[in-house]
Amino acid sequence: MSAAISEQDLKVFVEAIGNFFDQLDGVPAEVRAAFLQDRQDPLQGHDFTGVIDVGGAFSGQIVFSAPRVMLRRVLMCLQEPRLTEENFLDAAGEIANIFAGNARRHFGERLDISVPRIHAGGMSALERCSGRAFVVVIGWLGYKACLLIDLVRL
Amino acid sequence: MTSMLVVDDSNLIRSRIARVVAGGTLPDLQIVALARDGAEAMQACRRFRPAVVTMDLTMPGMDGIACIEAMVAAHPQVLILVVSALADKATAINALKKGAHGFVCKPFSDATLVASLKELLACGVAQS
Repeated sequence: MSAAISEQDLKVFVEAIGNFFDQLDGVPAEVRAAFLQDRQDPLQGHDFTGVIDVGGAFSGQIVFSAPRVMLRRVLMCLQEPRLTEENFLDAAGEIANIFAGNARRHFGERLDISVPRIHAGGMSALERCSGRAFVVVIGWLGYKACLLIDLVRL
Repeated sequence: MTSMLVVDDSNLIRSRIARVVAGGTLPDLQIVALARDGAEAMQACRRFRPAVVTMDLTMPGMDGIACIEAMVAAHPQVLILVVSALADKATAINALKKGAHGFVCKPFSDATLVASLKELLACGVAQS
């Protein structure tokens, strides 16, 4: 018997996103969440994607995908001088890790999270998600990224 | 000078911590090595005997908790500051029980990291 997470559970991710961008440069992110299945348009991934596999008392994955220009800006805010492909990938993975790790504040240690899997482009991780996933669209400084939350309690 | 090892599987985080430490607000600290997982961290620990370590928890291979246990067993005087995205209390308490001295949750500001490292250094002075 498994149960999908609720909209209430989503709040911890919204808070994690808000905290991350606020910490980065003080400019708040705009966050909009919806059931994936409610979206009229197909979910678009971006240039770089970080995937966290979830285990323990949950199963599923948490996926962060962002365009190159946004990650470039993130690296600049972190004062990282090397704006390389490798660091864009690293940023996508680390941001996914931060959002998933911060969610344990709400879900507890039984939300077991993997190290990030990262890839450039491609939608493979997003295409594999269940029909019960949430997608959070993140707007920041005019850029758009997305966080896919595909979690069920076991 | 107090020697320091940075352990994190993210190159960005390793570089950022190194930049903050080199930024002038922690003149007594000097980074002697960077490691991307627990195994590299233990090698660096044997080679450089760092007094201070920043430690990620979620890493491939030997994770941060296992690394803290091994490091403290080999070098009981080492001061370990955990820097992790894992935000639940149980994880923080477990890390402290295994021998860590402090915990910083990602994302962190430069000021938070500096303050935590200063507290860690003060803790080391108190211990000695």
